[in-house]
Amino acid sequence: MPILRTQHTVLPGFTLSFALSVLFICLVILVPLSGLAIHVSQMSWAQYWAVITDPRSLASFRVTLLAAAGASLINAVVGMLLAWVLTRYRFPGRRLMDALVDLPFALPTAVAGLTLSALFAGNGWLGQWFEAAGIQVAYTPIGIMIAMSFTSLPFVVRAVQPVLEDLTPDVEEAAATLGATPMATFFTVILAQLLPALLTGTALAFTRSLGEYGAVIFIAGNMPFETEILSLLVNIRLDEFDYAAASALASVILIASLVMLFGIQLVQSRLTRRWKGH
Amino acid sequence: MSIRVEQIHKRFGDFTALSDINLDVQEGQLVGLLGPSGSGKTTLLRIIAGLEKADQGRVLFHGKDVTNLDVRKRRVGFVFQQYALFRHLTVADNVAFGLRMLPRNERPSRRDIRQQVTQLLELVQLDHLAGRYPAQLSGGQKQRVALARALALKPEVLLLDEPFGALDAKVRKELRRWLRRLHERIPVTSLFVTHDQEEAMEVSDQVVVMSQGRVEQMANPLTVYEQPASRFVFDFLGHINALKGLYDGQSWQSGDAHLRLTTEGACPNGELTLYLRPHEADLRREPSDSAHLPVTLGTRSVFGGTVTLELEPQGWAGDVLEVELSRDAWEHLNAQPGDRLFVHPRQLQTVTCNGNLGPRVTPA
Repeated sequence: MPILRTQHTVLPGFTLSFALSVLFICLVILVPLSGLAIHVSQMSWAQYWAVITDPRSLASFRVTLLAAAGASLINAVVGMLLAWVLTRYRFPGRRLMDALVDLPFALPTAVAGLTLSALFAGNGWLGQWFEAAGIQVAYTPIGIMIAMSFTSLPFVVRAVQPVLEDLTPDVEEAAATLGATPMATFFTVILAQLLPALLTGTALAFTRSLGEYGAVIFIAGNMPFETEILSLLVNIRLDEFDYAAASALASVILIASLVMLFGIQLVQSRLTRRWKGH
Repeated sequence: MSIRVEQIHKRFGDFTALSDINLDVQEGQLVGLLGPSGSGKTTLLRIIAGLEKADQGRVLFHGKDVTNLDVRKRRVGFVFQQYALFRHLTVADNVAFGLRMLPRNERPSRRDIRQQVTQLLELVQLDHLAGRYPAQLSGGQKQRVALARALALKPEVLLLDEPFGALDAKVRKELRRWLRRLHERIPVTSLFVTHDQEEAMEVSDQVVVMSQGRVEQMANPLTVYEQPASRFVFDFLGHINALKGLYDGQSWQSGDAHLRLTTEGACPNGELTLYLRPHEADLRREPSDSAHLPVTLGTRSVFGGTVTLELEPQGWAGDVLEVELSRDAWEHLNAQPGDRLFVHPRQLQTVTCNGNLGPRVTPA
């Protein structure tokens, strides 16, 4: 594949559009990131290490990672189911349902957080049933997980949906004529083809959950060592004017997210490159 | 394995897709289901496969009722028009799919599967592409992979839904000849759907002509062409010229045009329609006593050994006529566009008053 494509396109000149893209990426993404890097670089390695291995930090890493992982797993299943229902069935209200999927993107996360904590509080509409079953949701890691899965659900649905729409029913029929049971067809034909998109969607949901703040803090309870998420800890350090510590903690989220995104990109392109005939 | 279809009815909402279909396919035959789009041929094929359920009627394989047998257990090989290959699997894995889906106690060992896949790919002449993915293949290659995949479970019945429909003309022709030869090597009872008359005629042992959810005729290709059972069949198999005029007991007339012939098919009011196939007429510069059909030569197209001419009726009403001449006859005629010529039908098909086919006649 050539590095530069000089086919005729509707956008003016490659140079101009490329320059604008680079400028925008620099201003909006790279410059703030370098600010972070500069803050971090003012610390010595020992200081950095002390901040991130502080027991309170470690506890918040643990809570954040576990809750984000749980939320992404839930979303992988629920999101795929939703995408399946939206693409395979025609029912009244389908368009409404389709639009509702994007609601978590549109809703201010703080509003979502308030609503969720009211719902799942011990005397809330939903919380009372969980309470009756002996499960406390609000102010526990379960609550964090629910808030995280609320805000990151659209990533999975929107990643999987177009691929599902592309899967024609005749492929499933072909599997049936070859003796595959519905279960086998789902795993070997449908899921296998969805996997790259599902991985991407789940990874995006995961990285989004790692950094989620607004929706989580209302339902989390924010007990240090128990339900304190990393973004909150960053905020606390900022309130203490300890910019270096805040940056050090933020850099951990950042590195985790970057590694995750690049890793997924790599896996996905390896999986799909050959199918697409390049 | 013979296939028998009894009194199949199928409706989609208000639309009758199939009504009262009866069909008998002998073991080892290659049968073409031919018809225009919407004639129900694909629906019939899918009902035989078990991909669709008929509202009424039965499907029997070798005398055994399979009407309610699940598609997974019918042991049919099905080839889809758009190939329906698994794009995430290599060619070899696509072909092996059916074998890998067998229950554990029937499933061949890994080595046997690999060996069978290699044999199947050799059969479709694609063994050199075993490691490729479907996206890296041409349309013709994809369809051959689909065929190998369908044959992997040694099906008793092979069903092909417009297998060459998505391919360009030259590849189509190669592939259908190749399918014919393949069928001679592996004589599995096969049905294929097509809307291409030439394809059906060239490949099939038997042709089933369908129209509006009914079977119009089932016979070998020659019979279908020479003795069409209905006006639809005559119409559908190749181009025809319809000559509309009046018959007075001795001759057919329309404006300046007249033909001397004897028939009993005319309507009480004397109306008589004659069908003329493009290759069943000569062109001369002079009329004869029995045939006087003046025309003006329009465009011509030369393709292979035949020359197709468009002829404008002169002094009588009618559509532009299409006549095919051999290249020799065309050169002998030595005509230019605009020349006045006369059509001399060698044979005409009469259409009776109620729209059926009457006897064949020759002007004399």
